This record gives sequence, C-alpha cells and structure tokens, in this order.
Amino acid sequence: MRHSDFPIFTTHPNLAYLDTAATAQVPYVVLDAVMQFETTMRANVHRSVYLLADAATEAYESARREIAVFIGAAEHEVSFVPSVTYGMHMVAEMIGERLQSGDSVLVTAMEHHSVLLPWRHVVGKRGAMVSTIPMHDDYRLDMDALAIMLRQNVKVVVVTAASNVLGTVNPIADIVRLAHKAGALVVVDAAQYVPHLPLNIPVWGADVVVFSGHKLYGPMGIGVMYIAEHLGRTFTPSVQGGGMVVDVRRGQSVWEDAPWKFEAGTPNVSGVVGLSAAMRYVKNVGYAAITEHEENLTRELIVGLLSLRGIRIIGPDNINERIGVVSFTVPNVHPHDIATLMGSDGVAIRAGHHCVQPLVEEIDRRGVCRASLGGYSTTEDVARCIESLDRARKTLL
Amino acid sequence: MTESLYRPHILDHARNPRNRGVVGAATHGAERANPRCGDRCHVTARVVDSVLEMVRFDGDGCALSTAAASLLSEDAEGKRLGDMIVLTDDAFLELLGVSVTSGRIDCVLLPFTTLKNLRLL
Repeated sequence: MRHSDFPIFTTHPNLAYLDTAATAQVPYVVLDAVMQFETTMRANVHRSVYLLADAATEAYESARREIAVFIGAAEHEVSFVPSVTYGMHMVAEMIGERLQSGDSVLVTAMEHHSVLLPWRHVVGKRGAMVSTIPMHDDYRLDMDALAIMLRQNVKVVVVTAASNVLGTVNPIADIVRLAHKAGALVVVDAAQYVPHLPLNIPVWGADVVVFSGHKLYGPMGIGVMYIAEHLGRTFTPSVQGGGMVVDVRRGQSVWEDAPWKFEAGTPNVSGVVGLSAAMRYVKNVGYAAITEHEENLTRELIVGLLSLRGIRIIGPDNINERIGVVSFTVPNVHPHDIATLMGSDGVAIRAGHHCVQPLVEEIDRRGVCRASLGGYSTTEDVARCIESLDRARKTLL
Repeated sequence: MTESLYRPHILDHARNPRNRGVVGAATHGAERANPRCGDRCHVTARVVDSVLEMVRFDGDGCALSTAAASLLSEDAEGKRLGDMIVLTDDAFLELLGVSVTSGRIDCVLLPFTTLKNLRLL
C-alpha cells in the first residue's frame, strides 16, 4: 500500500497514523466506488422495478458475491450489519433463544465490549452463565483450560481472532475443533484479524464470524456477519422489519431466506459497495505483502519501544503469534498525557482501555498506550513514534 | 491546540502539585472517579462561615487532572463554597489558562466536579 493511495496523507502530510486498530484510513478506490454508486446507481434495493433500482440491487448483490468469495463463504451466508456490536447483538439474541438455565457460554478475557456486552446481556436473560477462558502469562489462550471447561455444558464459545489490545492471534481452527467436539458453537470476532491476515471461513470452520469494514480500509458503518448455513436456515431473525419478509399477515409473518432475513430495513448499500472495493484493493496488494510489511514494522516498533527505559510491552513476544497492534505502558506517566503530547507531534496513537476494560484494568488501571499498524504504515512512522514517545515522557517527568 | 495544553505552568502544577493531601479536621469531603481513564480525585475542605478556609486534594490522575486540582485548590481557598458551586465549567476552564481539547475535558473537570460535590462530613 502506498501513502498516495490514501487521501488523508495528502491532506495531513505530517500525520504518522498509528491507530489503524481503531479505524483504518480509506483509499481513493473505495471513495471512488462509493461516489460512483451514489452518483450513478442510487436507489433502494430489492424493492422497486425501474432500471435504476435494478442497477442498485445488482451493485449490492454483486458486492455480496465478491465479499463472500473474499472470505471463502457462500453468498447466502453473508449478511451485512452496521458494526460488530450490532452483528454480535443479533447473533447473541438468535443463539440465545436456544440457551437454557445452566448452560454456559465461554468468552476470552480479550473480548471487546462490542462482543462481551451483547453476550452478557443475552446470557443473563436466559439464566445461563458466561465464563472466561484463562490466558497464559504471555497472553496466549490456555487451550488446556479450554478443553477442560468445554466439559461443563458449554453451548457457545465466543472468541476474538485477534486481540485489539494484546495483538494476540488466537488459534481459531483449533478452538473450533475442540468446541465442535464438545457440541458447542463457535462465534468469532474477526474485526482485528481481517486487516492483517486472510480470512478463509472453511479453514476455521466457525459457525459465525463477524467483522467490520472500516478496519479493513472500507467505509464506516458497514460490517459482515457470516452465519453458517446450518444456523442461517434455522435462526429466527432478531431484528424484524422492512425488506426481510415475503409475507406479512395478521399474526403471522414469513421471512425471506438467509441472508436477506438478517437485513431488516434499508441496507447500507454504498457501504457494501465500498467494502467490496476495499477488499479488491487488499486483494490486489496481497495479504502476503501486507503481512510481511507489517511484521517487519512490528519488529521495528517493538525493538524501538524496548530501547526506551521502563517501557513494558503488553502482548505475545513471538512475532508469529501477534498482529501489529502493540500496547505498552510507560512508568510514572498517564497514557492519556503521552497520547495527547504525541498527538501534538502528529503521531496518532490511542490510549485508554480500548473497550476491553476488564482486561486492561488488570494491566494498568489508567489504561495503556497502543500503536497499531496498517499496510500503509512506514518505517518513518515507527521512528517518529519512538522519538515522539521519548520526548513526551521527558516532558512529563 | 494540544501544544498549548502542556504549558509551563500546567507542567509545573502537575510535577509539584500544591495543596496535595487531606485537611485535618475537615468539615467537607467528596470523592469522584473517571472510570474511563482510572483517574480518582478526593477533595477535603474546612469550611468556616461558608468560606473554604482550607482545601486539599489527593488521588491519582493524569498531568492535566493533577494540574487542574492544584490550580483549583489554590483558587478556591478563601472563597465562599456557594460561589464555587455555581461556577460554570467555562469559568473554571478559563482559570486553567489553556485551551482544552474535547478528548481531555473530563480529565480537567474531574477535580472541579469533585469540589462542587463537597458534602458535610
């Protein structure tokens, strides 16, 4: 990826953007695709019969086809949601209908609030319980503990594919194997995974995978909810309304088939078109190139951070078990002061709990700093991050 | 904007906060926290004839929150508690002498909100 592919770096030439885990910058090709849809095809989809509406529907459904191919799923298994939060809520509600008192749902300590809270909400209503799979000291999941926990009437395992705080990449295929053997479903949050590593649904074998588009260089407000056919066929939609029914009579409704039954209301068509363009862009650059580039920069970032006295990196040491999301603590200074001062240098990092408060509070009650890389990140960005961090802490001490 | 946040007087108050501690024989006290950043502020005061005779704060916070508490405690002493309670956020921010960005507003307002919540002990 080149800086020149992204308009933000022209608008802000001094920007060292190291907050891709919060949202990725968007390339021209995505903006162009959105603009083209809005200026030449805008109409509602699946409703009207004039030519423009046909073009809009075709744009929407062809984007769905492209997105399905990108993740190795069938078209009818791919529906669109505004975000992981919304997708997780829908999935939790739909699976939650099958939960009973005494059932158990396993989560990891790495789960983002967007995942943890929907499940807590639903599980609490059903009288079931949520348990947390422990981690090793190096922030990898304890797979032995998972195997033991799976003996306790577990119905669902909810797991992030890559942690937005620790950078840990979890062994989803292994988790799915263990969980399925125990008769549990597996729901995966892949929001932090897809920007860095290729998602191939059949390799994982998970039952549900949700991720957002804006972290994958796409527009905000659009996400993908993959629901495996065996579930999609039988789920009762948790959000009901316009566009997802074929027949509404007094006291009875007949849903559309999947995926449309999961898309109540007017969908974010330009978002879907933009997301498919983002995936095309990523595919053209190639995951192999992105991964290699980010691994090199992650190494530089970690080495640079460790060159500053007292900095503690939070996450796996092994570069092959993490993505380029690097959280760290700085002794005796508050992470928000560090991030604000670095921001005045044009270095954009994030500080705080990163929406994983239970985990981060255990690390440091004040939160942690986080620098996260994207395919457009450069060696210069990393060098400026280290210089700016050093300057910031000297200012504060 | 952010460059002006950490001006020398702010850094001075952050590094060497004035009036840190607890008032002996305090008549009033309050404690507030900002869970989003882990900051905690505890204010104690001795109020005599409605006047804040002595104000002390302690707790744990970022540089901005600490500096705000320090500046506030200096300003508040000798003033009537009632006058401080009706002081607006904008008036308090003016006292700090820096332009606070929206992302950090909660940090600097924490000590002020705590002081405004002083209750009879």
